[in-house]
Amino acid sequence: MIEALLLVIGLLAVVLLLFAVRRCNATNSSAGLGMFDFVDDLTAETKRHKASKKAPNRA
Amino acid sequence: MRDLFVLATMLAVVPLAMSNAFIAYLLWGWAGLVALQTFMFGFMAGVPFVQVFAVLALLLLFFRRDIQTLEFKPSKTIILFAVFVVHAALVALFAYADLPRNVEIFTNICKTVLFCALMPMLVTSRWRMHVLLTAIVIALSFHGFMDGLKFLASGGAHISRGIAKFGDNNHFALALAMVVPLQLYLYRYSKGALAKLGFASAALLTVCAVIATHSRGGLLTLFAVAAWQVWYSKRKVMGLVALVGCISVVLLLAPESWTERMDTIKNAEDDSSFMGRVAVWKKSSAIALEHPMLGGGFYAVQAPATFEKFRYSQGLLGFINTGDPGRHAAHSIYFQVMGDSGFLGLLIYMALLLNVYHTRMHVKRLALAQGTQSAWASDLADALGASLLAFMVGGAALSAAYFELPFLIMALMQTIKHWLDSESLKVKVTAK
Repeated sequence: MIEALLLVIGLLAVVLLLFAVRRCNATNSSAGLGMFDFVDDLTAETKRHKASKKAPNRA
Repeated sequence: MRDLFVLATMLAVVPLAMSNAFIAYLLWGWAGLVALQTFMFGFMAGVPFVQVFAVLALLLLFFRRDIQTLEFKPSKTIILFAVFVVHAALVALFAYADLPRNVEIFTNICKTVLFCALMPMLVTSRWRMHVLLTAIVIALSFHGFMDGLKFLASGGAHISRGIAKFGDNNHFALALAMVVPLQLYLYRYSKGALAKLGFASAALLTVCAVIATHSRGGLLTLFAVAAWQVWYSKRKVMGLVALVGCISVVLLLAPESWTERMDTIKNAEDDSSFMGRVAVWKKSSAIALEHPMLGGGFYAVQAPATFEKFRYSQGLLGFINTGDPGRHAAHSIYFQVMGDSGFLGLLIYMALLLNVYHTRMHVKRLALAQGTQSAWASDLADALGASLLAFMVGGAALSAAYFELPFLIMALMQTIKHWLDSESLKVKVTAK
């Protein structure tokens, strides 16, 4: 049962990835990656994340 | 039912693969590691997925069905790959007679190296590197998820035997331990919450799956990966605390049979399983001493005729007292390559492995020079380094020298360097 379920999830993940790649190929950018998109700059992203966490407290 | 679902999936992905060489290439890499046939029991069990996608990728590349491909450009890694294949061809040609797997292994090496040599041509941007890594990780995480869940569901009683594609439980543990650093990298760099959750749970379940194999080598490999992760982490104390926490959880969850098995690591000299391996290493080195340039041929030490010929040879390890070897496989990537392709083959193989760390140094230097926007390259190079370290540690007691994943790591490290070089060049041209 676990095997069959994981097989379905695994195959769906690959199909989604391939459709995302097709979208990205059209523009040669990561814009179409959707759920598989990645962080460009982790340092900047972490700073932004920390700042957004602090902001409501200040308000 | 499974076969029907796989057929439906293939009907969806084959048209996609036919539209673009990179998609076909991704499927080639994914199919090679996921080993779908293992889980098929009906009419799809005999479908050669890997060959289909490989032929498609090569045809599409030949007919230029991907505008983003680059011209073939030799690099240090590609030259080393070429030397390795030429040497392997000579090894296969001048091998001992009656080696049942000589041609098969040589063919597999050629296929793996071909896949790797094409990587710099097709993986031409950061998003393509990310996608290729994701496809590799999805393929291997599938096995990690499966056995990890079974392990948790059984309260630690499930014993993972691995699948035929990888070999026995020890080979399976090695393959799984190698993917953990890559899962962690993807967890850190994924933007979507679902992807983050997926990669984090994959890493956790993969560790559980390694424990489920009851492989002592697998455990040592996990320790090597953990040590690397802590050493190169920016927050070492936090890393150490997390590591100690993980070890405590493992010791609490693991069944008694597992702890007893792991305890035998301390008594290697009294362990018949380990000493049996040393006995085979003697034979492998004896073959290399007889044929230092080309060795005995692929899997020579396992062939019945060669086994008998070198049965009592002491090779380079005569100072260790062992009994009559009861096992046939080489049980070490280093001794396997030594016996198969001689000291020269081992030298080329080691050059390939160590070249990864040399290229990693270049990648880190280039990434540092380019600023925080290229920090991902440095982190990916670290993850690949950790994965290869897992192979070098775990492989020390396994016959896994020609496993695809380390070759993919070699090519991917070179691809990152290639990309960083071209980015530096762009910056220089813009500055002028």
